[in-house]
Amino acid sequence: MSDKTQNKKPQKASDDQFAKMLEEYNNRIGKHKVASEKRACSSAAKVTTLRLTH
Amino acid sequence: MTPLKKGLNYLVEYPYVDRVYRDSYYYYFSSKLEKYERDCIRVSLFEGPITKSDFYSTGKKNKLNKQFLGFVVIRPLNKCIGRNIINPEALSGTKFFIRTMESAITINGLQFTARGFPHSSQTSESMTCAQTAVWELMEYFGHRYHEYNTVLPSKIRSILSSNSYERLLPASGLPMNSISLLLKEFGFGSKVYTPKEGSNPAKGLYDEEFYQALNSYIESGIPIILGIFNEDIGHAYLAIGRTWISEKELIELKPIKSDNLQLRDFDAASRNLILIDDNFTPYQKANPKNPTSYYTNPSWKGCHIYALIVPLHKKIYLESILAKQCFIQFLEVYTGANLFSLPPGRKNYLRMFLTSSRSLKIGIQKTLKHNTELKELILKTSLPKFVWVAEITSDKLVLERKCDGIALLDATQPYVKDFKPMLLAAINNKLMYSNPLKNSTFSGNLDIETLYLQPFYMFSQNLELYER
Repeated sequence: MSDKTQNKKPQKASDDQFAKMLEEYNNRIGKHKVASEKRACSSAAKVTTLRLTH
Repeated sequence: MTPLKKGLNYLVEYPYVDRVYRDSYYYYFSSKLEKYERDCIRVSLFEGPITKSDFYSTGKKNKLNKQFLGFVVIRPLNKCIGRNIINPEALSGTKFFIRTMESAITINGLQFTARGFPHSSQTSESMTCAQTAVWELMEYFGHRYHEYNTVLPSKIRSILSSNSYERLLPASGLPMNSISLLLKEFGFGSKVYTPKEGSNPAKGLYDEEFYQALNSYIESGIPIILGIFNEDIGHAYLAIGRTWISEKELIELKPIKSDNLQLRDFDAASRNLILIDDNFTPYQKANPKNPTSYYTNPSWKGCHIYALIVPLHKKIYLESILAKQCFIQFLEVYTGANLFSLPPGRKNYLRMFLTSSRSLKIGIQKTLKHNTELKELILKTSLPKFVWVAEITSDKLVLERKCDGIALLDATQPYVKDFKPMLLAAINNKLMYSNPLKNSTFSGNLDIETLYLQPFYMFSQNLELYER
């Protein structure tokens, strides 16, 4: 590999590439949101029934 | 247990009419055959010598106020420790960050300011741990913010009575959903967190995201009600701060899972919480993964936190886990697109917390003195009432409590698609901010400018350091 290649700056993503990355992000964060909502429901029974008395 | 320091002097007043005990007395204790006294004793704490005559003239008021370190009400009950506000400066061997409030009290017509976090032991009959935790929380918020009011035990019962299928006196504890309901009624947008399915602290399987959410709210200066349980115990208490996080803990932190980021999360570092527990004196310390470590009774062994109730302001819509995901994903996407990178050749750390835009701007006036361009941009920007702040620092800068990168996220924007909450990021000499006039957002059309930043002090308005 030549020095010229090594010093080359990484190329910025094009608008299309960035749009694709953004779409992937939106899918990931959407799944994350659903997972965290599910998580809240999973322990709902304990939150409702367990009495804090001590 | 944290002991009181030596050399304190005590002023004892009797009879003392305590509004909280009188409320329980008239609604409950006076209706029993067993005789109960109406009056309490109040003990005030002073650092250094005091004389009786000091309290009969106004001449010594300023001197006494400097010496004053809080008070304790002694109730005529077996569980005698009533309402108290102890200044952490009255304790020995403290080094912690907490949230405090101020309350005015008068002794012989002289006004004093008690500073600390409100605390009381439970009566077990009119108030159990759950009601006491709610009372303490409202005592704090009611004194500190004009939007909230302090409450009496009878008020807590009257709100619950319409939603309760059984009697509320004698008190038999509350489930977490009732506590959350109370906080909603008192004006909060309360948010409940529980560990994800599959986590099992008894087997060492912890939901790290759950503990990190807890740490980020503590870092935001929000007192939280924790639900604790094991096979025999169900208990509630407050977490109001944290101990100092050691250099070793920070250095040993593992980077977050990411393809193109080397970033360590401050919330993942091990620390002790500072607790207000109605079974002990205030300001107990315990690791969140062993939350009852200071109990000697074996039945409290193996307790773990099974729920958090966060009393969020009702205009905070973006919660901790999603806010952090949004910011980390922003870093990933922008780094992946070669539009931006974290400072190379060092260990990078992230600290995220909530604050009001008002507190942020007060803090920025002090900390961004040498970064005038960024300071002016943040000060003149119209910000939402609350923001999530992300600070980027390094292994060296963090030891000086400094950072060299900052991002702001809109805490009133719960929709995280297209990086909607992202308002501004100034990291690694790059400045990005959404500008409605230029129709630029973090999802596209964003100008990235060069902006050289000097390291600046990390935000410190959320928690006060007490060190003795």
